[in-house]
Amino acid sequence: MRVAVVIALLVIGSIAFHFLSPWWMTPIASNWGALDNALILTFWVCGAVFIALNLFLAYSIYRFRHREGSRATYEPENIGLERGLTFWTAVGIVLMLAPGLIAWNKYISVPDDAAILEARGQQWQWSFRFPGADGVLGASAVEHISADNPFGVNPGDPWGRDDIIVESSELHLPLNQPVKLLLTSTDVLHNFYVPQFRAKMDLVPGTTTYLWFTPTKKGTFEILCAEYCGVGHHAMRGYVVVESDADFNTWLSDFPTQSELAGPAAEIAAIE
Amino acid sequence: MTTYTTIAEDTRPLHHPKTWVGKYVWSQDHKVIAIQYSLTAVGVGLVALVLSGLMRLQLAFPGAIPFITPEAYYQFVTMHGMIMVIYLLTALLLGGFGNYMIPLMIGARDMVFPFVNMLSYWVYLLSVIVLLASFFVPGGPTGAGWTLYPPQAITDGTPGAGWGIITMLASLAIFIVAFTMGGLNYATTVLQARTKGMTLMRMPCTVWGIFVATILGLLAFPALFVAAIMMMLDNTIGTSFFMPSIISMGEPLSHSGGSPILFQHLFWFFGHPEVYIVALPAFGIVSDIISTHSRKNIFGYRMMVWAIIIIGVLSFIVWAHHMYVSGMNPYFGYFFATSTLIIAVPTAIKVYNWVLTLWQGDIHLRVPLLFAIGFIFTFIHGGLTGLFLGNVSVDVPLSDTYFVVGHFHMVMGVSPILVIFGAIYHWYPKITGRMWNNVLGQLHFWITFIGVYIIYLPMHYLGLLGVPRRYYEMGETDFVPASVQWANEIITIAALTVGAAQIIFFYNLISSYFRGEKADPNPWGATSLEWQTPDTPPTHGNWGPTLPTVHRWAYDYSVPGAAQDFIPQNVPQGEPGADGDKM
Amino acid sequence: MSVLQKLTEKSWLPAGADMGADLGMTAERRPAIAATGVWIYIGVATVIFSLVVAAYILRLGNYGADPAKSAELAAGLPWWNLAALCGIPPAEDWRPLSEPPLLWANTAILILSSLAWRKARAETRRGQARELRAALVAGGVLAFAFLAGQLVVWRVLAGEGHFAGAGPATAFFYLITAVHGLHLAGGMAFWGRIATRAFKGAPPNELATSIKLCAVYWHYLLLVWTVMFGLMLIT
Repeated sequence: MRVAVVIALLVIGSIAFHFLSPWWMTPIASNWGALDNALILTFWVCGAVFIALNLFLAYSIYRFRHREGSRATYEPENIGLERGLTFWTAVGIVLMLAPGLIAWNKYISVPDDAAILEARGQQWQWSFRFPGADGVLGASAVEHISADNPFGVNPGDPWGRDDIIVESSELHLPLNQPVKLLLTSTDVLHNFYVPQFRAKMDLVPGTTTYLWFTPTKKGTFEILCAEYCGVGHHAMRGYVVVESDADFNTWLSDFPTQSELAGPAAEIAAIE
Repeated sequence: MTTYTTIAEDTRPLHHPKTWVGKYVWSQDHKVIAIQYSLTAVGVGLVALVLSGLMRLQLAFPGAIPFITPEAYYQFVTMHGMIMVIYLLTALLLGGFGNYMIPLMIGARDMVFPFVNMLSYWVYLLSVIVLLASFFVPGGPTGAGWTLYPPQAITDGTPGAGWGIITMLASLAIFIVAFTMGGLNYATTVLQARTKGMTLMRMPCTVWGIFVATILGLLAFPALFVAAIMMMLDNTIGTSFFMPSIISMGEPLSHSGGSPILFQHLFWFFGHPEVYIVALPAFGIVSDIISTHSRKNIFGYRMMVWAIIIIGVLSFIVWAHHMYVSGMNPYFGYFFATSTLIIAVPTAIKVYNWVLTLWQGDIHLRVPLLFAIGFIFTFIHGGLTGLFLGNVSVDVPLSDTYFVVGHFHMVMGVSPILVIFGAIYHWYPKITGRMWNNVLGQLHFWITFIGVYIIYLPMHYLGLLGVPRRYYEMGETDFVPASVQWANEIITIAALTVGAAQIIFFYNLISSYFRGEKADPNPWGATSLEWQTPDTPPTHGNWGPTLPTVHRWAYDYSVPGAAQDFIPQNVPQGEPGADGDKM
Repeated sequence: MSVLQKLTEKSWLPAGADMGADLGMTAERRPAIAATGVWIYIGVATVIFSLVVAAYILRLGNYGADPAKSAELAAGLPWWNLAALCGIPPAEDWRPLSEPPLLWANTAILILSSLAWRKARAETRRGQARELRAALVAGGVLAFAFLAGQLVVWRVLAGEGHFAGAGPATAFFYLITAVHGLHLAGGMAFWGRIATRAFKGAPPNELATSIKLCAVYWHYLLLVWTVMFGLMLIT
């Protein structure tokens, strides 16, 4: 009896909590509205089921609580009812799954005009590499990493010489330009996560992963690491600054290219 | 017709020990082993509970407690998770309830391999000792997170990367050996030692849940075993199964070419079935509690059994839904999202059938049923949030946030533990022969049930906001408002209250054991065999001179026309007054 | 009754009193119980070995860390390639192991050991206690020789400088032989029990069940070894 009331109150409380709590998704700043829409659809479908099932539960407990002389009915199964419930559940599932899969298809299909850049994670900081004038990132490997070659760009790869090395945890991006981030790590797993962009992907040492998005709002957004990476995990932060093309180009021109960093010695070594 | 000989007529009778040590320490009696398993699991579980309290203190009052450094915090996170999932839940539900209930519920005298069963417990105890020893090794226990992802688990930036991870991996391997010995027993006993008349579909849901969970465990734990051994080799003798060439803390390591994602596949090939290894016994037990206390057969029994089997099979093809943003081949997302959401259908059916069992029942709101109802509520919540995380693109913004923490605690922390509480209250009179104190039981339920909801509901919203999990402290973060800190304080207060409320539970169990009212052999009027033993508590051999014969399913409650509102399974069909006009 | 019929039984309907399971732990049911236990364990072992094979294949196809090349390489693999399917991009560090010739001899010894168990099983049917004991001794000694031979192979490899850290193929070789060897060593414990009983004069028909199950287990481990050895040879 009491438990029926409490269940009903918890349902009402949850609804109240939903509307009163100050916590909800941050305002979106990328093209990933499709992810939000799939989430919100799931939220309302599941919310409705949550309310309906629990209120039915509370009502059943209240209505069929033991009283003097009451007796349960005997009904081993009701195939029709069970089939119906199965069917409608499956319909609800398809309803939620379909937009999810469609959104995923977009999530993993990078548009051709996406600008490529590399985001590198290491315990516990971020750095970035732009492909430079040729638009191609040079090959790199952990074995080549040294003080004047922080990304381990292969000195023998001509594509790598004009790569722009951003040894800073602040990344600038031009507004409305789709970007494909190639994600690499030199030590352990990390995860590139900007809540306002919604997108998220692990950085895996030994391989390259990617994610893409289009920043749609100017501003400064915090990068967090979302894959546990050791004692400094919570402090592995960075910033993305989304700005106009002009501001972006000014910012980028401050950083050295790979050959400027490595100096002529490396190139001579490579040619030999 | 085959002749039917019982153990009592067998040439080789059960081994009856005479000494106290033989009876209670080196015992081969499944009931004693079950109690040993349960006490050990609960003991180590209390360690994990204390760790969670410490973590909550750090989150509510960052830096206020000097010894909770980031290293310590991540060690607490890891040990809390690992202990709760494996050493408490798996061991208690299968080693504890499985051991106690299977032979009693199917009408056997013991497990089929009692010696191996005993060995299983002692090896399990060894794994617990090795695990706890890691608190005392140089560097302390591993702080790799319970998923133990390499390379981080064995590199220097992680606490306990030396001895801590080695003891953890060794303990896991030992646990798996123990589980396999126990699991062989549970599965073989169900398949081969059912008493006369106990067809598969006459078994109570509890046995079904434990049986299928055991099969899952037998087939899933090998993945963890293989992964643990391979990581151990990477760590100790420098192989490169999972380790690519990396630079750890400025030092290049000698590994090259290994794949961290390979570990994740192996881990979750175990890890996802593990969720159901915990959930399925809980599903089974809760079905029986609901049915018994609402005096009504479990609604759609066949569907309930099939759902357990289907969930068990499907649980092996959904593992990569833990890896949507791991960097695995993105095309995997389609398959695993689909298979994951398909598994929601049989799970939903189980929920409907629990509620439909209450519908038109004669509901006695005793403490075990209160916990079962609490379970239905928390499981609906946890199950529905699972639909968010299972659906690949909805998972992207939510993965690795507090939404995940809220979800899995709701679905595989709180829910099974509420069932475990319910089950303990339900079977306590049979196991001890005494009755618990009702007022304390009610108090325990209300604080626990409402407390856990206060703990976990806000976490989902923090996750929607984007607060990442496994953060020692949030620090200054632009998108996180100050109110998140209040939430953390409230959650911590609720968590400490719930933790403290467990004292009521233990006090109730212990004091009732000595001073409780003497219990009726079948206080709830239950039909299944464990309530029909000649002695309460059941003695070694369970059934006296002759085994019971089963004549009906386990759910003959409120049969129309029958004199009583329950007919035990061992009452013959057509006994005068037993069957009414049941069709 | 088929499994399907068993699982669709409407068990709430009244059935005849003798309907259904008539199992129980009686003396005459012990063989069936033991067989179930062994077969379930063989299932568990199969999962272990399958996962090792899966890991082997995935690691085999795991190439290095070049950010520009690896995604391209992964995309270039045919869809049915396991490594491509699992998102593990394709490198160059897999150095095939040249298997020492002694492994062929070990394989032959394991086959003979299995045959000896087969003979022992036949002798339990014929009831020949002496021949049975001889077959048991042969089965056990040969299995022991196999294990010793594997250890020698380890020493030979280590002597050539192939430690477990030498490369993935070597590491897997040690892993596979160790896991397989441990399974066989576990079987030796049962062999010890059976042989002791046989030499204490237990009649062959009493040993029939144990010997049959041991033989099954031995054949199974031979099969596993054949598959594993084959896999290592072709890669």
